[in-house]
Amino acid sequence: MEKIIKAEKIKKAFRTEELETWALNGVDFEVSKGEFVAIMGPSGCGKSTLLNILGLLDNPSEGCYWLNGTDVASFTEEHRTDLRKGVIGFVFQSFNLIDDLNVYENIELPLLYMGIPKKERKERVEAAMQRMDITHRSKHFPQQLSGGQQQRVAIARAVVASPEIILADEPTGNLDSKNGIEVMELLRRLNSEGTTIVMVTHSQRDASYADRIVNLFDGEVTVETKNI
Amino acid sequence: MLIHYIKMAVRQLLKYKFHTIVSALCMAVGLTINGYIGTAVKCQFTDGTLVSIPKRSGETTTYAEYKDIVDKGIEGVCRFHTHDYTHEKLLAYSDNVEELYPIRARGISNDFFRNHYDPRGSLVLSGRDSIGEDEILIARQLAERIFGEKDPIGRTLTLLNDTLSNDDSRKEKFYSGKSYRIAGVCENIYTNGHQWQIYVPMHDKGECAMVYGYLKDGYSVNEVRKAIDEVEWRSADDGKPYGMIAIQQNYDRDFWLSMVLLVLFSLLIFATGLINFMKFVIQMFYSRQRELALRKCLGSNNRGLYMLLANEVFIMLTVSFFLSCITSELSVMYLDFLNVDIFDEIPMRMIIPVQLHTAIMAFIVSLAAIFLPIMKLRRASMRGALMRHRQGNKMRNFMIGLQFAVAIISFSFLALALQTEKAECGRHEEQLSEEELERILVISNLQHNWEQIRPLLEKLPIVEEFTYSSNENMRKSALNAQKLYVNNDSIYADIIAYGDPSYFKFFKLPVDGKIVPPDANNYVYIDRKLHQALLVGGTYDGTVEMENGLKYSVAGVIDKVLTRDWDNVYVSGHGYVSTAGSIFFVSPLGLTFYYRIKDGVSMKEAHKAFEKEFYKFVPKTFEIEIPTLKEINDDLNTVNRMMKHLAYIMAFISLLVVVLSIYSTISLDATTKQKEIAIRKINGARKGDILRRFVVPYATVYSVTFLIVYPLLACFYISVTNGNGRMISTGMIFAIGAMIYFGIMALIAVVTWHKIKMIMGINPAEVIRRE
Repeated sequence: MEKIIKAEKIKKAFRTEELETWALNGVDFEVSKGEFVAIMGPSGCGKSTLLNILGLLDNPSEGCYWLNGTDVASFTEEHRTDLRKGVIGFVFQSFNLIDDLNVYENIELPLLYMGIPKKERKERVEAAMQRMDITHRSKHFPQQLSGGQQQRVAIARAVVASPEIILADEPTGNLDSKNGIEVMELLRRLNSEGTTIVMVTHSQRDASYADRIVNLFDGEVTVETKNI
Repeated sequence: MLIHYIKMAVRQLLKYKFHTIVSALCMAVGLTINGYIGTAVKCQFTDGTLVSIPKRSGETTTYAEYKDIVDKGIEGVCRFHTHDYTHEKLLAYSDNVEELYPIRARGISNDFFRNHYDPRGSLVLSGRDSIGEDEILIARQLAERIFGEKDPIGRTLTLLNDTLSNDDSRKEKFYSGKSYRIAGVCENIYTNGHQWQIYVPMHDKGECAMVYGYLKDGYSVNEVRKAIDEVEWRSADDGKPYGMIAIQQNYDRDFWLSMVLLVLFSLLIFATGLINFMKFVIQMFYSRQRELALRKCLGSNNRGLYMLLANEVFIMLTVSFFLSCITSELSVMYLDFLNVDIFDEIPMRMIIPVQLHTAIMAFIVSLAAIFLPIMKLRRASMRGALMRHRQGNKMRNFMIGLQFAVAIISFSFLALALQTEKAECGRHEEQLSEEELERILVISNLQHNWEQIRPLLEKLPIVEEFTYSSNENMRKSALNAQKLYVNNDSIYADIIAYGDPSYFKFFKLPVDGKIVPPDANNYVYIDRKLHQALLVGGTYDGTVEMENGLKYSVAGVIDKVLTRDWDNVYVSGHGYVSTAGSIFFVSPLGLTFYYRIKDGVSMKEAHKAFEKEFYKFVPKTFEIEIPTLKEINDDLNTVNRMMKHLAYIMAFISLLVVVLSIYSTISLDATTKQKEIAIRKINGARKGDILRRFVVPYATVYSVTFLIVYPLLACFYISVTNGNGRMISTGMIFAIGAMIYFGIMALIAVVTWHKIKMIMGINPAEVIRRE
């Protein structure tokens, strides 16, 4: 199967004046197109760091990273931004919606930066809201929504540009079980429609939605399990 | 608990060190400017409506009559005071040491300082409010010269009439031979631009320049006039009745305008500082919602939150106040260093209380202002809070707009004023080189035995050439204008000077015509501009008639256009008029004498030779100033340079405050909006998008402010300068506008670029991880 993500010997160090911490220590990681992969591990094992590197938010200190066959490890920030647009969508545990923008405006944001015309933006935002069942909340601001609703807005924002990959960092971490299940169902539905999903989670239940589980410990991949 | 609040406030302020310093500094600058200008303007105005009470006949009021008026009183008038005319022909000696010093004195009524608001008066008298019959006040500089010490309080000074000249002065004789005890010393005594060296109590027969008083509350000048008419006033000398009238003292339009502009300007700078200060405090408050929520969870009430903010405001304002004391001291020292005579000297002890009052007012305003966000926090619904946050941006934008307006106003006014073309104006001495100016000695207004000294100087072998005129120096020519008649047409002309026609040869001013001797009767010279104006009617016959009916022959036409440095000139009975040219009257009398020293003679030798002749007729204790024409020119240019310099400083300060304020706002934005920027970057925002996100709101506010303020200012400026001979073209207004628009924008861009670049380059992963 075609590899959409391929990372080899990825290392990431965080340096302060006194200390050098290796968050990732030679991670090899691959994801096939249309796959749903869950990354698990204890706190501080490097899950989020790996996800940030996969999402082109950060550069690895060492190692190679191919996204859709392009080596992106040494790309500049501007280059990474361009590559990320419309290819990768993000969903975070703390939703990361902009407080000053309403639901519609939050979802519209990636399309704005992609330079999509207004009419098309409107169609795509409305479609995304409908898909996430939040159309009735379009004029509301994030702080007026429940956690589940906020996460649905975040997912709508992640999918509105029809990205090939969605990177989700503990998407249910701040939600109750009912809302958590709803979010996971949404992600599974997106995956079944062809979107590749890489999800960081602590939850076995959430991980059970994935095709494959990768376990990280102290910055290294320890076990890989396939869900049947 | 209070200690906890103070501790938290200090920590919070230290957390945002840079913003705290910038806000405190902006506030300090506002307090300094407001304190200084507020004090200066206060000194210009008295604390009440001043009325003058002259005799209806136009005769002067004697001091005895003044005392009679005070004794009887006038209904509706209080705080009477008076002073007499200048006494320039007095000599003095100290403590029976009969070394004579020439002095300039002013006689004042006993109640002068008690009833007349004079900021320096209270200092002069060291807490007392009047001087006794045998007491005088002396300027420190004169005290040092005569007594060799700064505070000769208690020592005596004997006044004499000017016995060196044979001029029998009526005014000075009252003081001659009388000894006075020195009651107080002051730095300088200035009144209406004149420096007085001594204040002396008025003599009963002395003439009051004017009788002054203040209107009591609730009285009009008309009621006072009625009250005056109801009393029978009789002369102290001959018992003859006389009438009086009360006249309300009004400052002229230009004076009011300049004072209003100064106050407005200082208030705008103060408002800028205050806005920046409040913006910082409130923005800090909004960025601490989590902490405030936690505090509320832990039992804090709104009073506690208020105290938290109030302590921050108090600490910052205290720092600002002390900073403003330092900046004021530095400003006063700087103005002293520049020796700028814009306002009379203003001591720090007068400025500090104004600053303190302003700071207290700012504290009260701030306390009221911080009450608002706390009340809103308590009553807030989620949606309401969000909507208010958006409105808050509008308010913030308005405040930033106001700050921009200050910078635009100050710079535009400066630029417009500098670019305004003055009426064509030539200077008398501009044909002479710098070297030639250095070789001309100038003697002005000498009175002591001048008639004996003058011929000796003219005969000195080192003197190559000399001339004289009535004007005090080159720039002060054309102090007034004259209405001329050419047949039945009238025209106004500036009077350049009265003097010897050799003046033109001396100053290399080409004259088309004949040079007549100085004692030739009824001859004038006119400049080319006036000549052309006279020719227009076709009736000009080589003579001009003055308003008083005297006819003058025009002996020649001066090729250069010689006129005043300012544009409108006041002609008694005609108001401010614009003039067609200028005129020089031939006269044997002079006030200023010019001596060209022969080449090869050192100027030091020339000075010595001049002084030698002087001291044959005046005591050594007389200081004789014989500057060169170049020194006079440099002095005059220095004043112009200083005025421009000061205008630049004021404009620079306002711009500095605005730039610092904008920098502080952007910097605080960069700190508080990191998460938003990170989210935007995660969602595809490039550096350019982030740049636009920061720049567009500021650029919009700036552009809107500019489009509102600059045209209004330009219209105002044109209306103010219209009709006084100053002109500025529409093209120049546009050019200056464009220059200021892009100039201020570029300056702000340069200063804030580092911060914007930093926020553009933030690592979103880092920010999200921190969150």
